[in-house]
Amino acid sequence: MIRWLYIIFFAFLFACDTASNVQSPTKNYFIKYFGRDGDQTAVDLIVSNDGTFYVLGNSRITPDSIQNVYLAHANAQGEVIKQITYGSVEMNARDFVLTSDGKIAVVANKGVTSSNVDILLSRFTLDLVPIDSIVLYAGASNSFSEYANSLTELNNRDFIVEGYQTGNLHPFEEMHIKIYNQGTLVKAGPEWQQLNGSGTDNRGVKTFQHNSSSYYTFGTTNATYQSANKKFWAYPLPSNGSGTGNSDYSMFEKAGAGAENNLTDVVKVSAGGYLLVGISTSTTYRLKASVTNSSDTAIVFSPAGIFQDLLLQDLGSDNGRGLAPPPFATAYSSINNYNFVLANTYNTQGTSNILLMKIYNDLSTVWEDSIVQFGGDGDDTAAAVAELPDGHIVVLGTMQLGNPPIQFKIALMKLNSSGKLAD
Amino acid sequence: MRHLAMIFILLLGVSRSNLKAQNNECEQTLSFASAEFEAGRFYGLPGILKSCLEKGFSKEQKIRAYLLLTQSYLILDDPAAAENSYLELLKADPEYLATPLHDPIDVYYLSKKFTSTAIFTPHFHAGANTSWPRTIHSLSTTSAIDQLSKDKINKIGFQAGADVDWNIDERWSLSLGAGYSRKSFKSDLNDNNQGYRSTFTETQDWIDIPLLLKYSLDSGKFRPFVYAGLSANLLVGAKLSPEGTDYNMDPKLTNQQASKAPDQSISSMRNFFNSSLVLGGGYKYKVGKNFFYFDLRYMAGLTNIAKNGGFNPLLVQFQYQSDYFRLDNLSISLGYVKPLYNPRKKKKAVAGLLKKLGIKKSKK
Repeated sequence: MIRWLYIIFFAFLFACDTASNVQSPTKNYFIKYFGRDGDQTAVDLIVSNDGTFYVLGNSRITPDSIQNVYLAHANAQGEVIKQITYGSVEMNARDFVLTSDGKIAVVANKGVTSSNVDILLSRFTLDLVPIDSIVLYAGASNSFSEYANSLTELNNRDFIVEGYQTGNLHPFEEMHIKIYNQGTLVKAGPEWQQLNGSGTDNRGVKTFQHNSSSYYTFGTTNATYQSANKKFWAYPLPSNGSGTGNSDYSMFEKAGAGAENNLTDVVKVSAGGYLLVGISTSTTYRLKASVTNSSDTAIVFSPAGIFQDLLLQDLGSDNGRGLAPPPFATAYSSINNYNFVLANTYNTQGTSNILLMKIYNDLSTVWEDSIVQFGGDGDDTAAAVAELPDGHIVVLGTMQLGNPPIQFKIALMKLNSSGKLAD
Repeated sequence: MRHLAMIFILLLGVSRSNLKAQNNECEQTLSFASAEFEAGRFYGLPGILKSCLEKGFSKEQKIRAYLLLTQSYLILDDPAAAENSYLELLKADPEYLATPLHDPIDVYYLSKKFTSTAIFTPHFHAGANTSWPRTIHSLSTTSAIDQLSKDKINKIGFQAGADVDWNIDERWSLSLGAGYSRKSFKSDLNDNNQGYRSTFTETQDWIDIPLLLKYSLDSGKFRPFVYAGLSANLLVGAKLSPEGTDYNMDPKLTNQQASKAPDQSISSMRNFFNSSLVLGGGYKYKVGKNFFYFDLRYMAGLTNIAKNGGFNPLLVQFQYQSDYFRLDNLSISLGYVKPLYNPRKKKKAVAGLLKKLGIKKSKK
């Protein structure tokens, strides 16, 4: 008995919690806000092989100031190593990649409040020191507005910017521009500055390199196929980038038929095929996802090649998925054969929350509760999601901070494998 | 009615005069007994004093009478009776302390066999306190931590409680207590990256259960004491008063946007069971048989009191994230001690306790 009393006494005495015996929670989970004074909105996230993060967003210091591109490098605990902003006119960052030659390449829309919007592709060292940049537009003369949606690095280190042009043949024309990486950035010739789409609203979202001689382009079109609604759209490009004859190759219409289906992101599924996510709009908004069962050209671009095409609200009781200004969803396919969908949804106050889902390749949900939500009383919106090798999930979004909600800040969250801000 | 009052006054007068007469009578008895003692006639003393000891002696007279009897029995070589008489003396005056100067030397040595020290001494206290969070891991929602400054500001709380001392001997005691305390502190954060300043005032309700080893002096009007020990600390409630100001990088603060909210419970972000190391001391001031005391106590928190609160509204409304921290506390209390005197023959208490605690081995 006495011996136990001693043990208890010394256990108390030496049970002092210190930094050496209490692990910092930031190794397992955190939420960090990025951005200086004013409003910052999140766009995209890169998880580097060394465990650090690159964050892309937009920054507006005051309501009457121009919007800059915001770029930050953070350590594995979400603490800023360096942050920069750039842009001399109104900018809108769209996408960035960590290139195979160890650079950060950022694509942004430039002069977005002007009548002639162009695309700015910029490169930075990993320490965020500017290297070079190039202004892009489609065609020989810069007469129309071009908007980028994504940037793809090709196997030979060239780039393809995917997006759309306005005010030319149709109000919205799918557009892809190739940029050669010859030490400096050089815009390709006319064959790689293509416009496509037979509808009045055709917008490219992402182009992937399939092999050395072909590419796949994904987007949204309202070209007539079954009906003249907007639909998920994909078609292959030959090696010269010409889109001739394949503008309306495939339109996914199993779910949300007749509704306005806007593709917002597409990723390669690790098991093969592609996962497409977007918002299906009719009288209400729905989160729509489609997955192809193969990446083979002959299959993926025919309706028969669609493995699943669902409106994801059918998987749970929440009917509000995807509903928020602006309608948006993004996806990530993990090496563990899981997929993540991050989207906007309305909360009970009628403002936007961030919604996270973990799904299998057949689009069925992994988590028992189906979804996890993040957000407060303001408008909190999704931007990007990724999975770390150890199963932790990293979510990037924009949160409106304050009570009442005032400023928008970029929020980087590291979550456990169940999507919780916890160990 | 007037008659009744007159009868009452009359009875009171008679009673007082009887008492006075009895006192005078017993004083004469005591004087007679003293004379007999001086004359060396010891055997008759118990009989002489018996009736007055049973009824009639004042407290002071009782002390003198039992002292006389103690001396007599010692001379008559009846130690058992001498001890009984001395014990009766201590019952009459538990604080009676025989000294070689004022008492016969044999009585002084006899007195060493006795103690009146209370076995248990309850005391009650109340006072004010202030707290210091000791950061284990500094946590925040800001990504630019090199531009974040955090200041901790002391706030005043209060506490009240009761303790019971188990007196091992006249100077050493083990004390077990239980008390309620309200502890409070404030954190000021300034994020120079964002231009955002926030203030969080946390108010905590605790039940503290200290177990202390105490040493105190046992004589004099002022009696200092010191103690050390451990405390179980139960955090039964925690509330946060948050305020935030987005000052928009304006040094003149002319364009501020304030965030406010009512106090919010953050008990889910706090650990219920905690412990601390306790050090303290003070002075007891004797008033009659009892004491008032002043106590200065430092409780050094041993355990991290914060835990993960998950995704919660405070993260978005006020960018609030609690550090991992221990809580130290300094308190000043005023108290009252009522010793429960228990005159008795001494046992080898310390040696016995040491044996019980395993420090001293029993002889086989």
